Amino acid sequence: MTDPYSVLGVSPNASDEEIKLAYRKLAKQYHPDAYKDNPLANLAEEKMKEINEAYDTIQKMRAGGSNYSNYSSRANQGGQSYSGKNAEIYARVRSCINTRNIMGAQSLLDGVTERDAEWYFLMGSVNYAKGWMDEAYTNFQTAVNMNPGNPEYQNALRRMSARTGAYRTARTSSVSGCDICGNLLCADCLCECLGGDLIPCC
Amino acid sequence: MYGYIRPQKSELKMREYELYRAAYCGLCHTLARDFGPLARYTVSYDMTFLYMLLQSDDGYPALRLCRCPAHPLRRRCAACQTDGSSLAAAATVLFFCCKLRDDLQDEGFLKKLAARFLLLMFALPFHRARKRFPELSEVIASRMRELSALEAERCASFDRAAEPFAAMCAALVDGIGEGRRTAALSRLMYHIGRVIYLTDAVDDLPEDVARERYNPVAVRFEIKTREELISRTDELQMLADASLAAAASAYLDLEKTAFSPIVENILLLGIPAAFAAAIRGEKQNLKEKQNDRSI
Repeated sequence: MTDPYSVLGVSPNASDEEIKLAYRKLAKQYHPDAYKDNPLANLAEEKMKEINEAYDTIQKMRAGGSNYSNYSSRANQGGQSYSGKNAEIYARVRSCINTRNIMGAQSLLDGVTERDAEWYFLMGSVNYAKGWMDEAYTNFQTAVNMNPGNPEYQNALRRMSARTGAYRTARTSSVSGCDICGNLLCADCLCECLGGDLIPCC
Repeated sequence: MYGYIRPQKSELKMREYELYRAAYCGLCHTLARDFGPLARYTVSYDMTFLYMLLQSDDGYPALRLCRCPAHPLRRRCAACQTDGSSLAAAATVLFFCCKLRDDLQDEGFLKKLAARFLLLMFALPFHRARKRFPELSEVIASRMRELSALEAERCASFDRAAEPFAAMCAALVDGIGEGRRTAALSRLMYHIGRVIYLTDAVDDLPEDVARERYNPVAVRFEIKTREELISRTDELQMLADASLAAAASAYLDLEKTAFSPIVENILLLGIPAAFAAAIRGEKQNLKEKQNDRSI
C-alpha cells in the first residue's frame, strides 16, 4: 500500500520522461546482473519487483487518465471491507501511510481509544515504517490473533518474516566455501552410484 | 559507539583489507589534523564505517603514504582527507565526549575521575567539533538527554529506549544534504544504531542486572540471568535480524563505491558476528582480540 511515486523517488507531477529516467536508473542499480554471486541478490530482486510494480502502476494510472487520488482510494479497498465505528479515521490513517506521512498517521491512531484488530494492524504498519520492529511485530501478531481470517493482517506478518528471512539467507550464503566442496563430493557419490565419476581421484 | 561495527577480517579480500586499513589511517590522520594529536587516540572502527559510507564517488579514493606515532618505522597508506573524513572525525570527538559525560553520571569513583580528566583534555577538540557542526552537536546533546530520561523511567519498550541512540546515528548523515542518497544513508544508520544499541544491551545485561542498572533488554524481555538470556535467543535474534534486514535494504539504495564490498561484509558478517558474540557472552574475548590484532 505504498505510493508508487515515492518508490521511484519522483513527485506525482513528474513528466512521463522523468519517471522513465528514474525507473531506468533504479532498474540498473537493482538489476540482478549487478549482484551476481552476491549474497544480497535476493534483497535486490525484491527491490526490483517493487520498482517494476510501481512503474507499471504509474503507467496504468496515466494511460487510464486517472490521477493519484483515484489510485489511493483504490489501494484502500483492502481496508474498505472494514466497517466499524472508526472506519473514517482508519481511511485517513491509510492515506497518511500511503503518502508516507508517518507522524500524521500515528497521531491519528493515538487519538483512538477503542482498539480493534484494524487499529493494531495500522499501528504495526506505522511502527514498521518507523523501524520500530519489536512493536511492529507484536502489533501485527495481535491483529492476526484478534481477527485470524483477515488475509491483509496475515500478509503483513508474513512479509515481515520474509524480509528478515531474505537477509538471513544472504548472510548464511556468504560463507559457502565448505558447501561447494560438500556439494561436489555429494555429486561425486551420486555419479558413482550410477556408474559415472565426477571427481576421478576419489 | 562501541566497537561492534567491524568487518569479519577472514572474509575480506587482501585489497579490501588494505583499503579498510587506509580508511582507518585516513580517519586517524584527519582527527590529528583537525583536533590535535590527542584526538587521534579516539579513532574507532565504528566511525571508519561512517567514513566509508560517506565516500560518494565510485572511483578509488586518493591515498598517500604517511607516518604515525603508532607505527613510527614504516610508512603506511592512508586515505586523504575528504568532507566525509572531516565529518566522521568530528562525530568521533562528539560521541567520545558524550560517552565521557555519560560515565560521569553512573560509573565508579576512579572512572569518574578519569572521565573528568579526559573531558578537561578534550575541552578544546570538543569546542572545535561543536563549532564546525553546531546542528549535529545540538541533536546529540538533546538525544542524550532523552536517553537519560528514558533510563530514569526504566522504559519497558525496547523500541522507545533505542530511539534516541538510533536517531543520533541517523543524525550523523543528515547534514550532508537532501535527496535520495541522504535518505537511504539516514535509514541505514538508524537501523544500524538500533542493532548496536541492542548488542550493547545484551552485552551489558549480566553486569547491569548485578548492579541494578537499567537495561532495556532485561526490562523488555524480563530477563535476569545469562541462562534466561540464552533461552530467549530466538526472539533477540529475530529483533536484530529485522533491523539488519532493513539496513541491508537501505544499503541497496546507495550507489556502489570502492568501499562497498567492505560495507557489505560489515552488514552481513561483522555486525551479526558481534551480536552472536554478545549473546554467547564473549565480551571479554572480543576486547582482547581487538587489542591483539589491532590494525
